[in-house]
Amino acid sequence: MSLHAPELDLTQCDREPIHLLGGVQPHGVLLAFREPGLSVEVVSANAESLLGLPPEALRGQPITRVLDADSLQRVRTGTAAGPVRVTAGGRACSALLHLSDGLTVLELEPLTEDDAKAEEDALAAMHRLVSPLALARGTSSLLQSAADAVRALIGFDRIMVYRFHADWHGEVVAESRADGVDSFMGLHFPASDIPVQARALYTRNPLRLIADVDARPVPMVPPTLPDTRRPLDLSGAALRSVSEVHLEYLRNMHVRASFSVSLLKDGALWGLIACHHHSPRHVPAARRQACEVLARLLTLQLGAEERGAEAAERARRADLQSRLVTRLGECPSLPVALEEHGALLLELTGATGAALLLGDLLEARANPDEEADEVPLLFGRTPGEAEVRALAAWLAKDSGMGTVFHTEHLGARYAPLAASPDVAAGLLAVRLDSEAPRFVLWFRPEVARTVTWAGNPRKPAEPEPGHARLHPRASFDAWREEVRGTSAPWTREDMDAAESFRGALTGVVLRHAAELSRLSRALARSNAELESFSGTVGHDLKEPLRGIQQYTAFFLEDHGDSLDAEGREHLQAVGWLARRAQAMLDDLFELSRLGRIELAWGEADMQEVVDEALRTLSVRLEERHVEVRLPRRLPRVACDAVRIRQVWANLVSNAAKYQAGEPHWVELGYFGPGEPRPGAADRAGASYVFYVRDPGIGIAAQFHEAIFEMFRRLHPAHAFGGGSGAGLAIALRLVRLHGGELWVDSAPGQGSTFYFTLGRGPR
Amino acid sequence: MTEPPRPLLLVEDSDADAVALERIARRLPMSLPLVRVRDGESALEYLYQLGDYADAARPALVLLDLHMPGMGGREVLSRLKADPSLRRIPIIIFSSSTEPRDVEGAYADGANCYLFKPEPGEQLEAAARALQSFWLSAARLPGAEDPRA
Repeated sequence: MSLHAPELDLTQCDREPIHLLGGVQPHGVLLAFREPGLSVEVVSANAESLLGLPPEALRGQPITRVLDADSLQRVRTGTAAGPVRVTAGGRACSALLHLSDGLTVLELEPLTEDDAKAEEDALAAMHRLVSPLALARGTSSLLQSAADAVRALIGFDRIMVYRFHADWHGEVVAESRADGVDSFMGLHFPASDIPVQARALYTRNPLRLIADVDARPVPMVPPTLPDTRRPLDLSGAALRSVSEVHLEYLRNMHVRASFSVSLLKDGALWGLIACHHHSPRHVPAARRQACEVLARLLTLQLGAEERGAEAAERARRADLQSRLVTRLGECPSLPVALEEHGALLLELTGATGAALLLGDLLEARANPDEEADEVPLLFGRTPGEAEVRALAAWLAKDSGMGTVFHTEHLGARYAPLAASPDVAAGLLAVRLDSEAPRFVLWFRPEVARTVTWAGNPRKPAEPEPGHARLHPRASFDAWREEVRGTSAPWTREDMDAAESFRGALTGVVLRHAAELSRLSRALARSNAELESFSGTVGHDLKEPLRGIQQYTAFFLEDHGDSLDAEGREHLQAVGWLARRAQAMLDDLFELSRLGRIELAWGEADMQEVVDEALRTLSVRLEERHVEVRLPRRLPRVACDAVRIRQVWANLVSNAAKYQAGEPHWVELGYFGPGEPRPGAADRAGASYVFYVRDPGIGIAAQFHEAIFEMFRRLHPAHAFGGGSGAGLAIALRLVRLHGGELWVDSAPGQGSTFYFTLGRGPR
Repeated sequence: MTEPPRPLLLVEDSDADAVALERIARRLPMSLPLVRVRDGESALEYLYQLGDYADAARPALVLLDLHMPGMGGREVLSRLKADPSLRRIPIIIFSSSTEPRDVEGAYADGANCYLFKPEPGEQLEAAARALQSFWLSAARLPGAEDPRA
């Protein structure tokens, strides 16, 4: 609880045997008799005033001397429903019957002229009471209607509906009062005002009338029962006299008559309808009974309202959760999904911030480059990453939490966040993994508010020197307390939503994890297969091709002269085909390796890279009489120089290959940052665009994409030097590994220009 | 009784490559006889003079293919280099693999030289010539007599 637990319930107060005070209030007479002989054993000392016979004359006599057998029978059957009107000692009385200490206790209260009307009034009053209750919408208007109805029925100065909080301190939540009477609305009363045994009595016996605070209690005759040697237990008696402490409390409040009706919800004490009057006032039994019925109706209605509100709230949370979980499940990456639907996550528990610590499970996807150190996902207003991590560590180790933890005053439990009540005064946490510090945390900010106590809750009672008995405090001046560092309380619904989300999230996380591990197993398997395929291609398939080439060469060497021209050509073709197949295997092998290589980024002088590439091609370029044109020195850039050299080599050898008319040339160049670029050369965001241009045969637009596909050739195998069709596919893949692009601008007969960019460098 | 001549041991599973080398060896002024075994196991049997190879002469040089069925060239290499009595024999890896990790690995295991098997035809002859001129005439091999003596 956020409110102070006052230093209350002074044990002395709790122990006062208020049900054994052994007296009754003087507005009625009590007699206790033993079944089955009906002989009277205990009588209140004021019996003569009502019955005309002193206690001594009644003791040992059958109760039928007071109440005839017929009336007694009616009381027996009627009392369960309320007081029964009888004639006793020649006067109209209301009679109540109950059992106590093995005796049957009869309570008689004389009816006055006015009181006699009460029974007739009661039914009409019930109508009046129930109608506004049925119309009232919402708990507070319901309570207000009840307070008004009770005042209409019993006419006291002030009717309060008093609600117990979880710590048993009470708050006045509705009030109906006569003109000129002070308001107690909104005041909080410490739990010690209604001690444990008083609450027990309120639960057992819902009606309590103190008709006159100053009336002297009437003793019982005899004062103790012979068999128990204790006073008769009067806890079930309407007439039971009152503890002096309570009377003093009432006097201090200037209350002369008090009436209370317990509000019991599902058998537990929910609150009280507490009524005060500034002069002595008797409430006829029938009206008291009507109030009790009203209280029952009220709590039924309260229960229905609360259950309705709870059901609506639960439905709302369930809807939020199902939306959230559906979206989390749909999205391939949990962190991304959570990022997108963070608002739902907050709404789920009515929080202003949330943090998820899901462990390396998700880290693998979210931040593959990060160390294993947990990075919490944060939404809304939360403490910083490091603070959240530290909080999680505390929750995991030192908070003693189970699966759920909540507090409205985190600063009091966990000092490091005491200075951040604006983001984390309230914490609701669910634990996802009992082994690791994985949590979902919801935060609420401080709500500064003022609680008004009816008196200082830290000083509920003043011990009086020399006296064992306690005196209740004398001052009821409102004592205001500002409550700081606490958030709005987490409700049952908040906690249920959190726990239920925990289950759902665990399911989603597990599903994602299973999917991840399935994918990574599949990937590992296909990598291994690819590896072994590459090995096969790279070696085992090449060997037979080498063999074919060798043996055809041997055969030509040894027997070429004895073959005719056609025979020699056929053998040469076999060798050529084998060479060609081997070259394609080499390219395929090379391409498959590109999926696995890591780029070695560094700063490279592109001029040197190009010079190196040209050196490796020099023989071929000279053979074909290709002139290399370099309009200007190339710049220094970040790239993997070895791979980019391969790109240049592929592009230049391609350009050299597909030339028909003379002269043959290849131009290598670039467009730098801010330099004008022809439309075809432009790529947004690329600071350098490199190019290789030739005056060759050109490529029709419809093939501008296809030429980059593996083994896609536009010309017969023997034409233009017989490439395998892998060079451009490899170049494209290398450029893309750099984060760049490779494209062509060309038209048939117009030559071709291949452009490439390098991306943004290592990330 | 004279020592049997110290041969060049060729460990090669590809008949085509072996035949090609043998053809070239016949044309070159090879001072050493060429002995061929087909796999790693046989190479070790030869070197340790086991089974059929009880009388085998210790080779002056080993030309070792890397990728062979069964025991691979790398394993043969590391076994020989781990044996003090054999590790002085120069081992030339002769492989069609251009994978950097094969090259690096072979040197790490103690190979004395790594040669790419060239394309069939004339290039092979050029490689064989280079091998002959460096390893069989320029280089001084361990345990051999001084050819100038």
